[in-house]
Amino acid sequence: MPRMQAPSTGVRVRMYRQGHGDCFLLAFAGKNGTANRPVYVLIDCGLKPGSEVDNQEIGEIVNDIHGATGGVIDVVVVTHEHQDHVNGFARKKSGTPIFDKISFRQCWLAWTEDGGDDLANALRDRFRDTLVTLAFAQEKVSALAGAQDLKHRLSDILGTEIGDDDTENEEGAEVVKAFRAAKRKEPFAASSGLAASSIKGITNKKAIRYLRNRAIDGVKFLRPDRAPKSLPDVKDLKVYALGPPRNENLLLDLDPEGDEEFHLATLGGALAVGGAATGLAIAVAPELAEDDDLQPFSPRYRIARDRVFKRKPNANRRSSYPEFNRKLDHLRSAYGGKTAQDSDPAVAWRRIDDDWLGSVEGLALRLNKEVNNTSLVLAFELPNTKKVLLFTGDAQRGSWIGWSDLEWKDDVGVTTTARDLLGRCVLYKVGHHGSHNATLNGKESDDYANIGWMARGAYADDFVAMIPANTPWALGKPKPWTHPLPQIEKALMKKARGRVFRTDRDTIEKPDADVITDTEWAEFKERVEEEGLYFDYVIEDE
Amino acid sequence: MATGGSFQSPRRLRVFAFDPSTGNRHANRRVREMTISIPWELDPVPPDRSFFGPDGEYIEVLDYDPASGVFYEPINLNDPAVLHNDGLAPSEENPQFHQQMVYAVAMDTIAVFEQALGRLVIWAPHEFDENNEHRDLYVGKLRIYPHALREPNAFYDPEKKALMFGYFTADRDSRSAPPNTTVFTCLSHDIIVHETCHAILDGMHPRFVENSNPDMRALHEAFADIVAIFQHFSHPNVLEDQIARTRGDLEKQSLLGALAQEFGQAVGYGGALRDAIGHYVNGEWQLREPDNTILHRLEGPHARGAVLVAAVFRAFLSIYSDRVADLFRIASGGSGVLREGEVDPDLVKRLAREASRSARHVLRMCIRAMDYIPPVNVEFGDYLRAIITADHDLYPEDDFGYRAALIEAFTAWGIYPDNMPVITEKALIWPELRDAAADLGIDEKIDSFEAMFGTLASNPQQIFNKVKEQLDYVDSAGQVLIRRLEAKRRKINTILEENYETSVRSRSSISLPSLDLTKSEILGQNLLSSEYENGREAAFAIREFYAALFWGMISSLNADDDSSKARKKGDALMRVIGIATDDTAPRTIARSKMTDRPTMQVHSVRMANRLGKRGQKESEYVVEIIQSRDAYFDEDVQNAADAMSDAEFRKFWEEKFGSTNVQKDFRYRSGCTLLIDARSFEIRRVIRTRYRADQNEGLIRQRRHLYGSARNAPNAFDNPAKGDHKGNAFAAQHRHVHNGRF
Repeated sequence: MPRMQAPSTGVRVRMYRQGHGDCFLLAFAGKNGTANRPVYVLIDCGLKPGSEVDNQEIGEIVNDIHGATGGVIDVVVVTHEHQDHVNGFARKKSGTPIFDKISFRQCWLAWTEDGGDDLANALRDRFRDTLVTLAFAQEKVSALAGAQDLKHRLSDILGTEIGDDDTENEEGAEVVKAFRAAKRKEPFAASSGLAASSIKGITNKKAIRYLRNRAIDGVKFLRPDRAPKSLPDVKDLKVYALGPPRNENLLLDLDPEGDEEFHLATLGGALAVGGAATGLAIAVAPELAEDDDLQPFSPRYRIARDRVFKRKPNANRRSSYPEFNRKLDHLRSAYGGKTAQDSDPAVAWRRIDDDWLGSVEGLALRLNKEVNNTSLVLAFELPNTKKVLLFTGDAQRGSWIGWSDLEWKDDVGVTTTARDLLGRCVLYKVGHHGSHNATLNGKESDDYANIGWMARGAYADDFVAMIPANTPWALGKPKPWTHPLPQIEKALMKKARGRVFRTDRDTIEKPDADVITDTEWAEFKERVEEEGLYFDYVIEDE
Repeated sequence: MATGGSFQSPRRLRVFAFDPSTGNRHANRRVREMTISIPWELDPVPPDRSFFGPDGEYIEVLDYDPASGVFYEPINLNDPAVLHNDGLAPSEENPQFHQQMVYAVAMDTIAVFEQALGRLVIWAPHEFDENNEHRDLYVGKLRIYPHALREPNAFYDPEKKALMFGYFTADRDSRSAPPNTTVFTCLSHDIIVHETCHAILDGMHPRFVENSNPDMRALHEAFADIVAIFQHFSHPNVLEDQIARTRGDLEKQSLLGALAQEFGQAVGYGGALRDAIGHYVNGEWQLREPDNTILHRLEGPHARGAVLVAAVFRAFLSIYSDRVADLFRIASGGSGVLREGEVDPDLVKRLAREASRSARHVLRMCIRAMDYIPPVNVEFGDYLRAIITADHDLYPEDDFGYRAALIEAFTAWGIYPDNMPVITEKALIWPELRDAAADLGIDEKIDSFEAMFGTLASNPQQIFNKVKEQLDYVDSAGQVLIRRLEAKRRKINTILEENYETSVRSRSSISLPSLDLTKSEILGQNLLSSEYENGREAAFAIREFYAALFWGMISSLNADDDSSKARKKGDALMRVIGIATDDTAPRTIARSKMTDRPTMQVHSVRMANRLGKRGQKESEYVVEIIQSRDAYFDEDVQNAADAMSDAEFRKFWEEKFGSTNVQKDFRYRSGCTLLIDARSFEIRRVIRTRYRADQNEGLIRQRRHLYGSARNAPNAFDNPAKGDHKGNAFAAQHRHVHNGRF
């Protein structure tokens, strides 16, 4: 297999086309030009199971990486802990990790992975508590009849957060099992401590641990408030970390006075009266409805629902008909029977049997968003032309807002702002498969980072975008994902004048002549290689 | 049926004045609870009969808690222990008190609206499709589930026509309720008013939940919150205690603002919507300085709604301070500065009364404005015009400077129509039909149009006959309309006959024959004006009948004359009221099956009664007309759809997308509200949306907005522009109450 060559100046970017997931390999010319071996940077390697393009195995991608780099990667970057970004690193074949044949020099992670950082530790506590809560919720929701949408949503998100390729509706099962086992061992331990141990074994964690252990020259944690990094053996190139922001409010979906309504205490320990988790417990184990500690009101006010549902209202009632029985009749005729099918259609449309489950879905979506916001966002600044390559992971709105007023001062006092960097951006790795909220819309004059800030002035003509997405797969899911969002794709097509790479399209088609001239298109195509496994794109720095 | 009982005293029910945790504070012990009086005739259940639920005329409280697997025993409001005791005593432990409180506060809110609007409150109909036909079914009762959810959330579900209240466990950082105790959203006065208000507004304007521009949902939120704040202030006894306690703050008038915000925070609720009113600086509450550019930067219903709330609140404060200036001078011997020590209790009472009166007036202005507003696609600027016009038409002279205060406050916050050269009272008032027509150089047909409406109102039978005459022969579509009108008429008959049966015949000692309206000339009289006598279900059927007949009338207005000249005149007149009916209009505007010309939907014909300054009854008809147009994100597709016939467009679509399943991306709506004088049938006000259906600017603005909201939508997986169905218009918006995201 031929080595992946770096141009004499600049960079070659390889976008792998495995499916719904990220995997990018960058080759920079070494210090002495092409005479040396190129310096390789690998950003993420993951894939949502089932989303493969043309059934390409992730193993083939890893083989290609091996061949292209000669088995040595100078820097491996993991943007964030989501299945479609990391599960390649945990994948094994015949018991051996498929990445074992490749060695890594440095491993770059976001500051949120730093065990010595208090804020990072607090965040991870929050995430794993939420994750364990959701795992329990899934166990309970899957035992319910109906609630299909919620089941799909939970399954999708837990799959992403955990990383296992499990069957539908069982993604959280291992976590629940581990939590219960830990609880048996240490019945009096704090729930959050148990949560930590119960998610140790999940694939996403394993993947990160694998890389951390294998990085020969160690792990670096990048922060937006630190000076830009350089790549080993690459002259003058600067790598800025734009995110994750060091601001909890931006990172999380937080309000100044808020806290979560779900607490782990409600699971391992006592269930709280007002928690949706308690509702789930009762739904699955109806006998819990008799437990006064789980009920908001005392028994004298409660009427078991079956007493109402099974009642046949008495039509010709005598005056001695007891008031309580009349109350039961009243409830039965107003609400209906056990299910909507058992009920008069005139009342069935107002039933609220599953509405309260909405909070579980909200929690799942929130966790997903918050972890996306911990994405390490990197801007590679080429030394001569100062062109910038922007890899955002899956950073969402909070992170973008966080970039807006970033600036760095170098040794001689020259200030570079994030706004400058975005203005010189000629390659944008589109965040979160082109979903809403992961690419902010806006104008150049707006005071927050957005697409209008990118590729301005002389850089405008060079702008290209890469969208890792498999739309036919995403739209065919039981609960479809709109990835990419048509509005965002369209805005990118316009800005890049058609020069948009998509995982699920074999070739980049030329738009109409009034969008881009034949000459320009030919120039662009000259720098592109379209292969089944990947797209290569060369950016020169002169 | 609103009958029964002669001069029964009102039903009095106790509720928490704020919510339990606020009431538990020692300082608030005197204002922990208050008693709400509900006029007997709103729910005239005779004392010798049970009143379970409470399940009344307007509201049906149904206490099912699906997350706990139980029902809670319903209260009986006519139980002597309840009836003669001003209801159950406020208590968190007793779910029956919860039922009582949601009922009482919601009914109180309904009463405020009926008083301000001069007509019965009717909920939005239950809409569904049956055999490919759209049905609107009357919904008599708003359902309230006091314990529907186990989460810090409460919302109005527009599909179920139900209020859903949640409860949750207060967390470690809770500032109001003690940690680990249960907090019930259904015990917060403000939350109940807020949600009830969403439901009432949805009944008046079902299209207001559509996300048609950045202001539309913000208006829904802000309006609900404005009502919640001012309804609170209109109870003077609550204010008295607070005014007495913080006398030092009175001069700075910060007290009322701080109060408004404090109500909001008790359950962590409403924080976001009231943030713009003021904030604490070094422990001192300060009114926030208005910023007239802020709306350009804000997105989302809560952030934008907060600005509207702040503007109305600012107007209220200047009205109040103007009204109490003399009291301060009198009490201070002319200096305006009160002497040290406790404030005189009489002065406290007077101040509280002025505050409550100002609040009530501002509240009514804000509610009445909802009749003077376009039926769809409303922007904040339209709402200002609505407030000013509604008040002007009732009180032509602005004696107390209410309108001036509102204009000033709105302008200071940058809320005004952005297409107006000057912002004066005169300019803001919606035009009369004659003026609007003159602007377009049209003066014919107006008289005949008004005369026709006059006939419609006072003798619908005549218009019915005329419509029949003209449509009879046309085709099956015309027949459908006639059949539908007949059905609606029969419905009215049935309801009125039943009313007679229950309220007159069954109680009469002499035997009366039952009423048979099939033979009588019921349509020979004005049915709209007798709403109170006939009750809400009849009112709904009558409003629907009139709307359908009005539609038939204006549709035949054009079909009537085939000469192109007459038709042009008709089209021109329609254009004056913001409706595009000419043949050249885009094909995406819904077309009539009868004429294949652009059609419209008559959304509502209803009556508004108010008392004017002289105590005279001012009555107007409110007519709402809407046009809808299919819209696409892709400009090329839009252009094709606008120009092509259905068949051609289907072909175009198939070539482009490889499927025959044509799917529009959103609906662009425009329209007009007409205010028609009940005596002269003059069209007093023409209230149009900013753009007509055939004006692409409007469509493009909405498209751009939906692109924008895509960015703000709640999650990264669902298609935000498409997945925007009515049912969850509020659910996600209101999630996480105690995070101040309400």
